[in-house]
Amino acid sequence: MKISLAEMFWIFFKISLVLIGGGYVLLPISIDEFSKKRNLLTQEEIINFYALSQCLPGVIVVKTAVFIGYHLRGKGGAVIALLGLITPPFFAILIVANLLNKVNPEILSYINTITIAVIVLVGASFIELAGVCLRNTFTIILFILTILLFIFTNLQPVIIIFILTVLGLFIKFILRKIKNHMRGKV
Amino acid sequence: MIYFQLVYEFIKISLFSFGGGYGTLPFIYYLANQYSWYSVKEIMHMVAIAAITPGAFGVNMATYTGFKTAGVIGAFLTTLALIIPSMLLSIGIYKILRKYKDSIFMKDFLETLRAIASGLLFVVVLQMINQEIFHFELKTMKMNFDPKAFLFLIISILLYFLVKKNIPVTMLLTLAFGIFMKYYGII
Repeated sequence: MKISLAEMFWIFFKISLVLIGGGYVLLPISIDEFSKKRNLLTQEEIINFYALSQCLPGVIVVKTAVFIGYHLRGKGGAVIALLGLITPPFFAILIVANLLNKVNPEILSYINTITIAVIVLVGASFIELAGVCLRNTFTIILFILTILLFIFTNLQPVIIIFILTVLGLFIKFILRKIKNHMRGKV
Repeated sequence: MIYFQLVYEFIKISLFSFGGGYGTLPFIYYLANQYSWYSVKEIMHMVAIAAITPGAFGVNMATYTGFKTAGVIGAFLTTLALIIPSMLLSIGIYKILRKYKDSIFMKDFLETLRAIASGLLFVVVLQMINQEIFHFELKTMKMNFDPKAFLFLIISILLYFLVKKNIPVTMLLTLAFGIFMKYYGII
């Protein structure tokens, strides 16, 4: 399965259009477009890209788009994906910035009701993500630790990701050691 | 000169901001103090506009800051300055991943990362629900439940399933419904 650069541009253009109120809808919409509709990537691959993007500096949506674009069509794919991504906001911002000088800023509070839709979509995407990512005790424990650290400490997200990644890899390492040891005895 | 400063500042943001689009905010505040491009008060306005316009929040914020400071060319430059370093970095990381994709270490690494990503997303959902509906504060242990917002959420969930999980349609319908309710003073 291959995707044309024009289609790549169009998909990211569409994705960008529905990113309102933060990039949270990125995951469900990319899974929709690249996995369910077109079968170009597996859900797991998209989640890998998304998870990696969270650990690197910069805007998450940009990095996820680069991973997907580069994976499917190399450097050209990455550039085209980004172009698709930045075109809608570029013009939207220019238009909105000009309009806002003329209308009542009160209108913003109306548009903010979209936050509720964002909650539904992110919630739905979490349920799917959990189905793919949380399949054994190890991942469930890490999942719970992430939530606890987030809610009960003031640590920055990057620090939490870093600590838990190191911890996770350490546990995996120990588990493998034990497994090999047991096998050696039998 | 201002173009050069804008590009320099946004390359820095691209390389040193963590936690996604909203992670760029501390830098935007820093810029307000460092240069007199815009006031701290104007930032809240910029945030609202960046949030309600289509596109990634961080990119919108860069575009808008550039536009406000130096017009269309400024908007163009800040947008590119924000995304190009991220692109180069991501491609580099991708190549490393490809090279070691079959190693056990890489598999463990990605499995760990995915579990953490689920946790982070769950926290986002919790925070958003709390901010819109429950208004619970951990410090004071006080809650301020908003039944109207809760009802609105239930309706939005129903809409989502009604349109067979179509994301843009769900957003549009919820928005239309929200504007309608707000107009008649129901929420």
